Amino acid sequence: MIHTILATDLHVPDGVRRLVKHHLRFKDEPLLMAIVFKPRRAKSDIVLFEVIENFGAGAVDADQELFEVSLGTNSGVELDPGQRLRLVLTNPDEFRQAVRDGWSGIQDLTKAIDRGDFKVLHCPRNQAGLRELINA
Amino acid sequence: MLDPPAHLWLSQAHSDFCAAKRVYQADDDSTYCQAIAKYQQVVEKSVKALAAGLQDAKIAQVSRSHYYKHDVERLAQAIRHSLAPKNVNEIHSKVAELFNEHYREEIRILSSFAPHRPPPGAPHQRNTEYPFQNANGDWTAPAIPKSFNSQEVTRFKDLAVRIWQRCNKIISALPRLNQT
Repeated sequence: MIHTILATDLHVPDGVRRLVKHHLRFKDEPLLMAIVFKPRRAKSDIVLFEVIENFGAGAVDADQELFEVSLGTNSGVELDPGQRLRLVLTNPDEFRQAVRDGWSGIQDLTKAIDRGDFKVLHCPRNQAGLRELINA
Repeated sequence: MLDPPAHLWLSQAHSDFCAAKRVYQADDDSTYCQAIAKYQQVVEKSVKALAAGLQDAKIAQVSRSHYYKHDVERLAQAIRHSLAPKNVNEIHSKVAELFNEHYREEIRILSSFAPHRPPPGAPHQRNTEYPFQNANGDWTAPAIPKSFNSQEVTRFKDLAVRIWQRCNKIISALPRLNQT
């Protein structure tokens, strides 16, 4: 089940919701939080930001770079016309450090939250700490 | 500038595999670290080939900077997450099988043998390239006898063969997927 705990006007394509639902089935890589947001500069993009237990063996990237994958036209994810989906993946420790140290890759997310241009698609109650972190 | 296509990554991985077989001599401990280092390269380049194949097939594109990193487990996880169930269902199941929990752990262990700078105050971990500290804190080197054993060579050779072969098959299947 996908928990939408913070609602904004942002339209989330069904394909993105289905992808999150699919990731929730990965029991060996539990999805802790999924947020969708629109970056300010690339307006046709939509970013799915996921915090995953054990991603990268729980390590923090030495180059302070978040792992990003862009999904192409044959990805099978249904998007709005002209839209591009970027998938950003991290683990809880890396996420906390990225927020604390203001990594460049996290700034798009924090700015989108400031604007209210985001939607939380998944964040169970026991992950309230992560949710508070992005709202801080 | 375009990125290198998948088949070139696979070709280089195959060359590394042949080099590992040539360098390994069962009766010479000093060759074990060299063979394992090459098998690590086989796995790393095979996974990067798969990432390149997904890009060639317009399914998913990993940021270029990640090709120059050695975090293979993270790349494998990202590939798994980038595949949506619809349209790429068969590819997805094959990738999920390739990168299941057991094999991701094996990849993580093999990748840990590439030299990494330890955190301040921590000992230098066993690796296939640089001098390191053993369990007693004494310095040794990868080519010194008993740093690695023949069972480890066999274990990571099997892993390299599996990852290379499976990545090769999935990459071959990707263009066919587009024509259906």
